[in-house]
Amino acid sequence: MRKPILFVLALSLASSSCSHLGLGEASCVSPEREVSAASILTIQAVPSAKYTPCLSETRVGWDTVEWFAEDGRAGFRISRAISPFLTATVTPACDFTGATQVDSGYDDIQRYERVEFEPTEIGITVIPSSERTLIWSRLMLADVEGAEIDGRPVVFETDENIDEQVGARVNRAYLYDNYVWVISELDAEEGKVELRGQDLLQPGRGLTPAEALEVIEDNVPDVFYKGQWYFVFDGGCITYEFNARGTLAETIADDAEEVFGFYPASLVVEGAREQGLIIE
Amino acid sequence: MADPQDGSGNQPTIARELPTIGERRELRLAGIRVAGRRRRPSGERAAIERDLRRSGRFWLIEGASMILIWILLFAFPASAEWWTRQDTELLRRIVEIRSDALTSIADAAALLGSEWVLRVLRIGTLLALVFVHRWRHFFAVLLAILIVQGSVDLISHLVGRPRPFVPMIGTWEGPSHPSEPVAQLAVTLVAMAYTLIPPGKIRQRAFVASGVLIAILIAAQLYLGVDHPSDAFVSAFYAPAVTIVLFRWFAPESAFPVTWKRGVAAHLDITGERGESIKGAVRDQLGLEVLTIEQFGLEGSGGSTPLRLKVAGDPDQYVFAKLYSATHLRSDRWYKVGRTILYGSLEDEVRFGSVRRLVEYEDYIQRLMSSAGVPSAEPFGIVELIPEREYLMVSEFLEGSEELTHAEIDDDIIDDALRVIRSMWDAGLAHRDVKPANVMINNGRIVLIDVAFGTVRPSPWRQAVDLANMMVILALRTDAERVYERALHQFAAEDIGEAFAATRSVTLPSQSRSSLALVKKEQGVDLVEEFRRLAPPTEPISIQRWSTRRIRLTLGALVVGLLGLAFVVSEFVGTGVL
Repeated sequence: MRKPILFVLALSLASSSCSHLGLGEASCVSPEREVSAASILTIQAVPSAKYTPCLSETRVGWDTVEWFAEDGRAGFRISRAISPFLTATVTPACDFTGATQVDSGYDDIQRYERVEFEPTEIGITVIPSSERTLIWSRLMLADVEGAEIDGRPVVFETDENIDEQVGARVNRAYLYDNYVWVISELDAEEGKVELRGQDLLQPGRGLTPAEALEVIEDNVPDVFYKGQWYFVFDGGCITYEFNARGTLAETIADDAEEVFGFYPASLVVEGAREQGLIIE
Repeated sequence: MADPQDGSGNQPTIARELPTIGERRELRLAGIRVAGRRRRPSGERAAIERDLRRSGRFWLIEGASMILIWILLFAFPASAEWWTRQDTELLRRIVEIRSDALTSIADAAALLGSEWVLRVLRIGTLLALVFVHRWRHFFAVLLAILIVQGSVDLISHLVGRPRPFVPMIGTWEGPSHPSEPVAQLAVTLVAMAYTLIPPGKIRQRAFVASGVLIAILIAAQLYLGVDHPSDAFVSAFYAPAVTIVLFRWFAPESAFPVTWKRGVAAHLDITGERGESIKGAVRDQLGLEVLTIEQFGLEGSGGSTPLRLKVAGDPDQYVFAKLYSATHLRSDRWYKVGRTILYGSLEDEVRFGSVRRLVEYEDYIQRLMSSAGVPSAEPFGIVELIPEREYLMVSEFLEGSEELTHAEIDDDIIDDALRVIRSMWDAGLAHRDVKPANVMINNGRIVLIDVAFGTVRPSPWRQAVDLANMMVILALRTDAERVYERALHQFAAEDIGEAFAATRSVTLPSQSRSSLALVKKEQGVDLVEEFRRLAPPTEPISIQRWSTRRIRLTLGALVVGLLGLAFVVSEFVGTGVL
């Protein structure tokens, strides 16, 4: 048993005293001294790719960043509590069928997205059926202003197009994934609302606003952000696979925009050559 | 040794005479020649030393060399560059000879390091070990694989060496150093040779064949350009070194010989150099000239290696010996853990700290039993083979004795057997392992052997169980009514009632249980129920005792069991480590 322990100890000592040991990380900043093994392995895995995925910094709550590389694919996996919520992978090509093209901000990179998310804010559209109920709904909203469900803010908006059919107004609210409170004359007299929602099994009639919020609390799904971002360029494609829930889901898209980047493979090759890894 | 007398009329036993032999150079006791014993002077080697042997020293030197190579390889940038240059130049020469035919061959050869080939080899080996009930080897293989796999993974991430900068045409994963496929194949083949093939020429050939297969895989990896030569060679030495050291420590050949017989308990090697060392130690420490050593009664012993020694005398005679090692100590510890889980703190389940303590305790109990009038084999002494780790307990060999269940039993024998239990009760002792194999008849008298589990001031429950077990043994060859009638001469009816109120299936030794089952099948008589019917009615005595230690151990065992189950399931669904 001692021998392997000695080996590991010796290597740990060696690695702690030698900065060039270990995988390191593929930074988005040009390295002052040498490129990391993670970057070099990435260009070895997908030699055709013009760019490699890189990471300029990590954020609070990102417990581990694990780099991987094998012939044909490489990248990193970010986890919280051993559960990965984001995987960035560079491959020679990728299938982005069905994804929507968005602006990448780069001339030589195309960006596509295919994402589902449940936002933090919970939207409720209040639909008064008449002028009288419109007045009452304004009064009611003053009472429930600032309400939260599971710590998530509830955003109310009132649809004041009272001349339109209620059904059309409800469908328009659904387009924004909002819940709907329909207020009829009778409801207004009793201080109640009718609750509707796309994922509600059955609408709730004759509910007080507080009761309606409780029903929503029971039905509202966890906040999540899942899907793929594809960045396609010469000789390769970087796919970001998201599967974030809870507080991570609230910030992951913004964080990803800020800290992930593209490092030119040519610079990695140059660095490896300077480190004596590529023998001419 | 039937009659341990020296013929002088004083009937001194060998044990009593032994201490004076150091002064006299030679003595004959009961026909046995006892030559002067000697004290091992300071600085002299013990009888058996923990010898790494030549191959062990080789792997030790090899391990040290590897650490040096690693430091040279990676700790200094200049030397790292030098190594990379050498590796790359060699790989380039190999790349120059690439051809379609050679590539096909290399692709096929590289399969030796593939996940599914390794999985088949490993699971096949483990299943074979399960089939022959070689659990120690089973866990040694698992441990070797886990250690090599874990350490290679750790080292490769610590070192973080990129792959060679030559055109790679094979599959690869992760950093380059050390080579994972080579390490995985090496640990698998060495573990297979250590567990599936008995030592000797065939195993040597297996090692050579393993070396050839590893060399083929290395050649393929280099040809395909996925490993540096130094990555592959380091793995080819590292993985076998770890495996060999682990097997020497965890499943040494001397304690866990590889055989293809099912369910053979682990017993220590007594042949060759070890056998000669044992003879020398017995001569030096007890003054007995050992002519032959043979294993004896292995089937009835799991906690030690029982031996029969033929010693020089006039004529030559036998003595009995029990060999205890660290392996037996560990077995004793696990046995006690198991008993604690099954019964709780009902009995003294404190584990021994060393083999020395184990044999000191057994020797003490044997002498205490003897002075309490419990007939047992005469102890001759303890022989030290490896200080603290290996000892031999030598005692009288009961020549011509037979198991109680094989002998004709009359009332005198029944009374004698029950008197033995009575003597233990009166002296505040319990044997704790009263079973047919441990109750012998020697020259018409009952002799109790194997007192290793004996205890002083046991629980009343344990004493009652001793009585019940002895009555069951006696009834196997007679009948319950007769044994009960004779028992009333030495025990109160309430004592007997208590004994059978405490009796459960688990309190009966397995040997007694199977004999009882046979009687029930052949004669339709349940002897335990017969005794319960004869004795005064007594409330059943609970044998379960709960303590925090028992709860902790039980929970621990459950967790380990669940982890084991998860491990097996993960292997079957293809996500495991094998």
